[in-house]
Amino acid sequence: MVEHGGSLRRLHLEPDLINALERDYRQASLDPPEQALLAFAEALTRTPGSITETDLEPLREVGLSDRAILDAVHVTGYFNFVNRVALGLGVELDPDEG
Amino acid sequence: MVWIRVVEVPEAQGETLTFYQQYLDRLGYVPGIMQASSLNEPVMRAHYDLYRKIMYGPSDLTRVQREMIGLVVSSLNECHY
Repeated sequence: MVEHGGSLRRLHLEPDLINALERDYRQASLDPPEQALLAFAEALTRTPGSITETDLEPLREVGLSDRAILDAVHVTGYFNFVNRVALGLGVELDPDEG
Repeated sequence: MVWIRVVEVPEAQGETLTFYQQYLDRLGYVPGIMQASSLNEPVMRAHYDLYRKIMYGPSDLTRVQREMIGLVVSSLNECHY
């Protein structure tokens, strides 16, 4: 998502890392909490009906709090919402993105 | 160009204009993803509020962690916005 690549650039993430995240986050060099968060976000996005309490265990194992897990669910849900608004209506990139 | 009608900046009035103005002052334009919802102004504002709170509010996740999730989810949905 180019627009949020912009946000990550403004947060000083390396462009190589941003590209890796867009292509395949599993190939990116990430700390364990980030790997666990992204794997969870992927499962919740691709196969939401398959999520069970077991899927939260990797998040707890890397030290994420219940509040962090909640926030991850909210962020994942939010992007699934906003992506559908953009895709459903044909929203195009803004002038300074892309 | 979005596939449904939107409230264009010159025709914006009242709450919609107030909402647009914060973007116009800061960016000089209204982001398409917000303007797309302009036929439902209460939802357009609620969306913005939800976005600000989830992505910029206090959290046990860092800003970077939250934006990484957004990037990966959007890639999975093939959304390039």
